[in-house]
Amino acid sequence: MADTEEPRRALSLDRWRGADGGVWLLFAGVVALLVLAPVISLGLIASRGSGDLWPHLIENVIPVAFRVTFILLLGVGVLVTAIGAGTAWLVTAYDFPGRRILDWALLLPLAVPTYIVAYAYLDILHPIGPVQTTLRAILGLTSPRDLWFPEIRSMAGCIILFSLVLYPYVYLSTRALFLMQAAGLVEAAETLGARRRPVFFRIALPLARPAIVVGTSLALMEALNDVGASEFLGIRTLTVSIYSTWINRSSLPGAAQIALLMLFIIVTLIVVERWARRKQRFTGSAQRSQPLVPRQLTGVRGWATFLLGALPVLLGFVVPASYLVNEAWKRIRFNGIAPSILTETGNTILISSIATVFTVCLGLAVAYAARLNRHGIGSVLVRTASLGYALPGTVLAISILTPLANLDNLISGFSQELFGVSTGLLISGSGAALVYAYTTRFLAISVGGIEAGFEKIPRSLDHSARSLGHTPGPVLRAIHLPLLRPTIGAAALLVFVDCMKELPATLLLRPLNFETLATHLYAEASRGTYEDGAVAALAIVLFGLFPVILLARFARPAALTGGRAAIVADGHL
Amino acid sequence: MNQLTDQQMWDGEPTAAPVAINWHDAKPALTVDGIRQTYGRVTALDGVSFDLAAGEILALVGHSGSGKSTLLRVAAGLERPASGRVFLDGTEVCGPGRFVPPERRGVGLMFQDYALFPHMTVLQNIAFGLSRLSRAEADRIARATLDSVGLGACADDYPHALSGGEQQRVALARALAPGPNVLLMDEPFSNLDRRTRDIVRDETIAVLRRNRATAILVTHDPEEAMRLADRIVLLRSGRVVQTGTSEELYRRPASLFVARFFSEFDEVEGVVKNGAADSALGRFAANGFADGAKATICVRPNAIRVGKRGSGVDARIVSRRFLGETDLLHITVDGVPRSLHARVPAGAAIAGDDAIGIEIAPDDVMVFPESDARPRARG
Repeated sequence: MADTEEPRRALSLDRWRGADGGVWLLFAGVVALLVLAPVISLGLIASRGSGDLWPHLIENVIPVAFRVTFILLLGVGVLVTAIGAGTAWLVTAYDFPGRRILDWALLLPLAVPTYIVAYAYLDILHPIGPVQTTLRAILGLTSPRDLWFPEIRSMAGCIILFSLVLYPYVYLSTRALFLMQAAGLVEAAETLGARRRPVFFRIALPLARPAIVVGTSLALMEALNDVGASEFLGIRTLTVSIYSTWINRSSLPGAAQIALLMLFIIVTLIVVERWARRKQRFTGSAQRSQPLVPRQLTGVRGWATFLLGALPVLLGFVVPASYLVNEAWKRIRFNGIAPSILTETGNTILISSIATVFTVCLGLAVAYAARLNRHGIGSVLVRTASLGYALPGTVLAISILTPLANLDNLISGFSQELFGVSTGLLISGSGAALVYAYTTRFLAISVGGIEAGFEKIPRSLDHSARSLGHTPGPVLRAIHLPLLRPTIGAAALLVFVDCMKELPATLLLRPLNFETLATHLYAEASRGTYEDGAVAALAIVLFGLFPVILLARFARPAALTGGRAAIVADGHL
Repeated sequence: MNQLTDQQMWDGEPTAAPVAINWHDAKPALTVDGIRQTYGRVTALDGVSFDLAAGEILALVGHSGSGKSTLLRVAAGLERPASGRVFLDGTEVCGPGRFVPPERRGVGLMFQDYALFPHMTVLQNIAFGLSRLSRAEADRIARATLDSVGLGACADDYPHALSGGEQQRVALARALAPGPNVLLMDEPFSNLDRRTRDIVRDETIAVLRRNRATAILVTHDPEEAMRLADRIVLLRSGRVVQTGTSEELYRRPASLFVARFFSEFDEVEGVVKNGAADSALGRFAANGFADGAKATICVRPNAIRVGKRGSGVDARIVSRRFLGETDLLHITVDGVPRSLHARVPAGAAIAGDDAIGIEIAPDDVMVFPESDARPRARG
């Protein structure tokens, strides 16, 4: 019996059909294909060739855009690392007045999308804005021309603004790592006579390198995805070039060609991130120790430390948010809440909710299929389904618009032939394209979150439930769903807010005359009347606060369970 | 479910099978035939076969990584083997072109972590496997099963409110409630502390006997296997090394590996001459060995009899430990590199007189070919 060797391929197909997931796997495969479709379509569009435009692109657009993008990414990378890792170390290694507030407040800038921080600061730092007016009053100057002030519409301005709202990605990952495993090594270094500051550079920073790379690559992906802010600040990045090549030059293949080049950069980023994360997993499991007991800083030094740590929160959140509140309040007081804002809010919530439902349901199915098929292709499907997050909204829009338009024509043609009625732009016109784009782009968030939730449920529960006579579907409903409820809720919230904030894909794929808060804001900004978008901007920031609260709430108990030392450390504050 | 009081259930139950049964004559409840399982290049199971008679409790033992848990998962249908067949009550549930998923196999499962559903009450947990029955009927059976493990009062509690031992009993009740053909238990006692474990083990076996349940128990603990099982299957690197009752495995191990797994002894080298192994401790029967072959002589601690210097082999006591009814002696013998352990009646070796002579009882000595690195598979 033991020596009957069956053909390998037949066997693996057999396995695929049998014990390990069946229809779930098939479904996950379809989802993965849907996510992969835009990349394939992008390649097809690009291969059509942009004709006369290509020489122009290769000579004038691409080199500049490449250089600009590179400098932007480099600058943002350096700055988010400095701010994110620096603040993470500050609240980990030192205890000073306001540390516990800062611990979560440092996440607040996550709520402000890049385009909003750009609009806000342009106004705040405008020659007749509050900052320069005050400065002139102090210096006794009368004309705006007498005061030299750095130009915010510059590469430096763009880098600083991006960093102010993107550093929390680095802060979050680095802080988690410090909490988990810094203490032992840091304390060992200190017993060997090192002081806390050199310990940061020689022990903590090298230790946190994987976490920093993960956070930084997330921040850079966001920077790459941005189109609103960089266009507004006059920085012609690859993303902006893609957008304008398509919109202004009406060359889809040209845009697709630039997009393919951009995908290359993203793939590089992902490879670097994966490489770093592999190491992190290793160290994370190898050395789990009690959190570091922070060093007390009192008096002037304590307050100075607080101010230093509070600066990013102040500039990245408090200032732009207060500006928005002030502007929004002025507008509401004079004009009331415009009905258009209510419609746009409704549109935003509607389309984001629909996309969220899709994203979470598909994410659940993919994650469950991977759980059922642990040894097989399940994990490959999960990875494929998560690819969409790497596609900037602009690239995604380019790649799905043409196929969907073709599909629309096809359906319409059939309908015309069969029923004599044209369905028109059934998919692109209904917002289905937008839902597809959101789902593709944010599926990674729901799959990743739900997968992490699944990991916390012992597999023995699944096995017991199966052996008690229930098939995989009912097991999911009766056992996993109740246990996953908080995880699914959190994933849904994250996806919802990301859909709501999403600008480039929304701009390009929304149905005609369908305005969301983000597109409204973009339209105002294009007209140069961005102050009028203050109410919409404020609404986006307010919605964006929910995931921040969630992160702050869930990060803290996790930190506290790290060991009794943490409770002691927190207790004496 | 039998209508029994808790007391009847738990007290005075035999831990061995009530009547001596010749398991091989009974109709097999489970047959595992030539199971092979591979993960990439790793072979987890390499042609494992055995039968399990109805009402029999069989222990699958082996070191970690020997494939015992994998075999259990294959039997339950949680994993599909690379080749081989599984029969339940004579019906093929796994074989070439045939695979019955776990939910249609009618096997009960118990895990080391009990795998109780944390969001359901104890009663809901037990009723989970009774969903094909009407609600009232399911409720009635669930309550009766719960009563039978002595936890009737905990029906509406959530699992986290119970102690480890209680959770284990709920898991047992949940697995037994649907009346499975076979109960498969994966290290079901290893999460309990030592004292609780002894009690829970006896209780569990009592419940299994009372229900005439057929069960496989996976464990790494030879003592647990010997204590609970009618028959033991010892696995090593995915192969069956030996199958038999605990006495067979203890008294007549098929190889040095089996002997080492089930008992403690000191190993002494010897050379075979005329059907007996010569060693520093004397000659021991080694039938079927070639002349000149090296042999490993295994001496159990209670095989050593202590006497006056001059009788038997000269030896020296290097330390004594008082263990109550017996003394544990460490003894050195010229020509034996490591000290030997001897368990002797308390006071058998007079204090102060360390120069002694020892005799070895041949019944408690086993001789194996020395190069017994690989196990010899035996049915």
